[in-house]
Amino acid sequence: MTDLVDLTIAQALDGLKKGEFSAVELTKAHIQEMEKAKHLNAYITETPELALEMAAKSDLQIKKGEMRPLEGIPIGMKDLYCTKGVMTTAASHILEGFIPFYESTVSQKLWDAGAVLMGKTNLDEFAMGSGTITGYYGATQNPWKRTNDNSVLVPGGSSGGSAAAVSAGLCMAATGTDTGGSIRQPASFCGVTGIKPTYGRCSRYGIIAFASSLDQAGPLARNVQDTALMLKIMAGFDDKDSTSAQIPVPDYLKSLDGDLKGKIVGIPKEYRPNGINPDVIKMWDAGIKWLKDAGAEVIEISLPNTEYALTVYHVIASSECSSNLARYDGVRFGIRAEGDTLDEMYANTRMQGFGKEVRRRILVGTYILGSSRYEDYFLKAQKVRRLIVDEFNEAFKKVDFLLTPAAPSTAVREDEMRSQDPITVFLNDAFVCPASLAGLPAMVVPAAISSDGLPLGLQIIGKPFGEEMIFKTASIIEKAAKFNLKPHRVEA
Amino acid sequence: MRYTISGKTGQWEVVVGLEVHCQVITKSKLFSAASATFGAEQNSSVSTIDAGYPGMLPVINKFAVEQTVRTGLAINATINKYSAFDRKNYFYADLPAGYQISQFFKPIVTDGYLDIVRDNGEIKRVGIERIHMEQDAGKSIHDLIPAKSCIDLNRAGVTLMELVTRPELESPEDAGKFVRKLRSIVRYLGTCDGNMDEGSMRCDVNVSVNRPGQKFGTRVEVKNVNSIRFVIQAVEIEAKRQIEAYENGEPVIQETRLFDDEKLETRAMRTKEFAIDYRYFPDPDLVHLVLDDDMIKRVKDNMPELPDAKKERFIKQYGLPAYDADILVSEKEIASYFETAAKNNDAKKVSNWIIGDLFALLNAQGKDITESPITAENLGKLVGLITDNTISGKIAKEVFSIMAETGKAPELIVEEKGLKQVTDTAAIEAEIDKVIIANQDKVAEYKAGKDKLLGWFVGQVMAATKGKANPAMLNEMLKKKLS
Amino acid sequence: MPVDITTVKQVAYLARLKVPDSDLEKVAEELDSLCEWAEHLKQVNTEGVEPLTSVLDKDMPLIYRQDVVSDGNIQKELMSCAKVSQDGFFVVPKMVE
Repeated sequence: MTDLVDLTIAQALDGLKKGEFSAVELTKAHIQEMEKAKHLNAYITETPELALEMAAKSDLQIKKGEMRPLEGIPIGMKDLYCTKGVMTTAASHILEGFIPFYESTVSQKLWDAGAVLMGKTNLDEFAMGSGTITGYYGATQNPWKRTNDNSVLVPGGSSGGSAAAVSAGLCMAATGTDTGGSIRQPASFCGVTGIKPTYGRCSRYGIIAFASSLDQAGPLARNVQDTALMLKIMAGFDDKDSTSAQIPVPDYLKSLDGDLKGKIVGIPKEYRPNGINPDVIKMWDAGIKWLKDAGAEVIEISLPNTEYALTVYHVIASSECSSNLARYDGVRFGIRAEGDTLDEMYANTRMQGFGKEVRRRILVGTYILGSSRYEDYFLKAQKVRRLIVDEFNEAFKKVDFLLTPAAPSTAVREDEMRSQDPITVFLNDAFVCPASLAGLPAMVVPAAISSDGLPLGLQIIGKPFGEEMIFKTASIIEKAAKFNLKPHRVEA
Repeated sequence: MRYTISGKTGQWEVVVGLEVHCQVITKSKLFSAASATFGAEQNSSVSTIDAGYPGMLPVINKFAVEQTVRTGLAINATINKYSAFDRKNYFYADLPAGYQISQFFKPIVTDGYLDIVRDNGEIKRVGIERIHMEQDAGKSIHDLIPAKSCIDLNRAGVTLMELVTRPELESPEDAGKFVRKLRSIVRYLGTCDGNMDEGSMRCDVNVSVNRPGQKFGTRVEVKNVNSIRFVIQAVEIEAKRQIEAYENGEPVIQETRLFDDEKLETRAMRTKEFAIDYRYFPDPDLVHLVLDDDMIKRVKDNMPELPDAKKERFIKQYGLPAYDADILVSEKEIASYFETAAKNNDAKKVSNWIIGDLFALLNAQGKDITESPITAENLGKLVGLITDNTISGKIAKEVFSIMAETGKAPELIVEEKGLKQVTDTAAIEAEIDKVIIANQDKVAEYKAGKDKLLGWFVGQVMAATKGKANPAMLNEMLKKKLS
Repeated sequence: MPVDITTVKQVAYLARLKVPDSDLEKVAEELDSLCEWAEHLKQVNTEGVEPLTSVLDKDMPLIYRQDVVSDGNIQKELMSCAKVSQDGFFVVPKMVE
């Protein structure tokens, strides 16, 4: 029955409908896989019992002939989404033991569609990181290994737990969040597909905030169609989120077929920095060819402010996070370290509760927002951010979408990333970060295997709310790339 | 003549600016659907948004915005179609999110004014820099558990409007009059109940002093000033403190002080080791607040008549003196009481009764006009009974006190107690005749020229009729009989 | 302009993080290098550019909630998440007025 974990969602739904297997069987297969893959540390909290309960309900629904769009599909939920009755930690000690009594809008939509919760997936603490190594519950391992090299690789981050779980067959799809590439970069490192939709497309209600002007929910799955299935459920207006868009959600599945005749693809030349992995360039060139084959016209464009994107991102994200994380103070939820005065209690709790990277970013953000620095750093970053947005808008007057690599390299070794200084770590996000700043939809689809046997992804950046165009293009790349879905699964 | 304070070394001018926090009347909070009303059990009018739980997001209350627009229109201000919310970051146990959502950079209302009338009749226009919306904080209770503070978040997230005046008030009285005027207006509008003792309206007072003709002195902020009387006292006390300091060659530092309403002093707040830096920045959870013209128009079209306009109308429509009109419009409820009572009535008489006897009565009973034991309709009827000579003014006082005790209608009291004025000439004549027959000696004296005795005769007849004889008729008839 | 230790202490205080004295120097260096990195934004000409707070800004006006009470009355749930509470209150070390 292990092959159940290799099915796509579409195949599984078909099998469930035909009665070839039950939802409980499907869930059990994934639980077994989870048991085998404990070393990956993809989940912070596994919920096998709850999963079986939910699966049993799904079987009843199927029996009644009332199958919902994701009936019985085992999914992983990034542990940044508040889930009613299930511990939610943001991979932080400070939220240890926090069991929300409310549900995030996006997770609720997934439950309403019949999905089954396998567990809460690991992440960088409060989603601050690019490798899923900063969390209180330990690092997640990438299921992929380099050819003939058993060293542990990071799955990327911050949605590394979700990417690893999807890649290793520990769930069929998972939710992620993307603030500066946190869905797309891990998707590339783990060889899965992932989309960060347009800012405002999915509700942020109930998702623990990192940087509110950038945070966006999105799915990770094993192919383009599954990703579309997931996003269709997750997306939509929510009156509990003032930044959610009142725009109807199209049926993304309908956009998966067709060609690119009459479409113009932009190739931004700034995404070809010195020192980029030659395999990445090879993949990119292949991608360009596939799109041409599908009828698209390809032109080179320039986005000169790209080089400032990472800096702008870190100034803005650190500032927003320093404010967003002020609520973790030991008073109302999470851990508490006592102190003689209120201020001491706060300082002790937050010092114990937050890990090093989070503390570092809070300090940076607090410093930057200081009244004497506000204008030089924060306001300046906001202005450059507008220039970046304007630059994309200009480009989209000429092209329908952009094609870039997802990351400048393949998955990095964990020990290597741990020894890097913060700015070097940020460079992993150089290609995914600009779309976050501009709030644009962007998807990563696995497109090649590097010379040392690791997956590489291509990124499609679309116009605001242009997810359909992205899915169509991703689907074309997917077919052309004939990507092998499975990681080598070298045993640890 | 500008108000000055005499110091040891000469005269000083006072400059005052006010920051007034008004709790906005709404059903639910500014950014959550929890109840904004008071008196609920601790932490029961609290949502996960108010308590700053992970993943929670603010969604703005439309009515709170309209209330602020309404207030902005009433102070003749610019309503900004684009405004925005910012975060004011600081840690405190009554501030769950670690930041207060406020409007620092782009407030919704800017550049308004209010006119106040000084005691000498002079009209002073006071500029208002801005009104912005923000969240109220929760409450800390310090005496429930030893060495601990208890936190109740019922108030956290309730809508506040903060109104900031320009530094244009020139005396303690100006400050008091401004707050009184503002309170009257928000009550007229129904945007704030204005109850300072309950904290729904709170003042911070900025005070500086300077020599006439010289630049403003250092500005000191006095917090926690929670009644109009205290506003007046705080300005006076702080101005005097500053004058003394200057005159003793001590510096006045820019700081925040607390007003102590028992010791009647201001004192410096404990300084923290580190300077507070609120790190204001635009709240990314709330995009621009955009007001559409329709909404502003709707609010404008539904504005109630405000005190200044009402005063003008009272003067014109009822022929009242400005003094009366001013008092009657000071509260919406008094004005409406007056208008009800004055319907088809002698308005000036009604005004006299309200400002005189009714206010004295309410004052004695510690009630406000909405709790008056005498309804406006009944007071109107009472004045009607005087005007149509059913009762005399003197009897009316008696009827008024019975009304105050029983709440009964005046005509019923007059009927029951037989207080109707005797206007029947035959009846009065009979009583006059009796008095004349019984007092022939006095008649003789009167006729001999002792005119003053007429009053004595009136008294006798009045006593005999238990005061019900119409005084004018009685006088005339007596004179005739005795001549 | 290098970040001095007093500033680091102030920032740590504002952020309510108990940074041990032995780490202050390191934090100062980190802030320094981050700011140095951020300095290169100065190369960008942003004259007349309006700062961008949200990609949605102005295109999408704020959504309104009607003034209806439909939330609250979750005192028990709130208290169940708090480490220290009593009689429906959150409890903290005594605050000095």
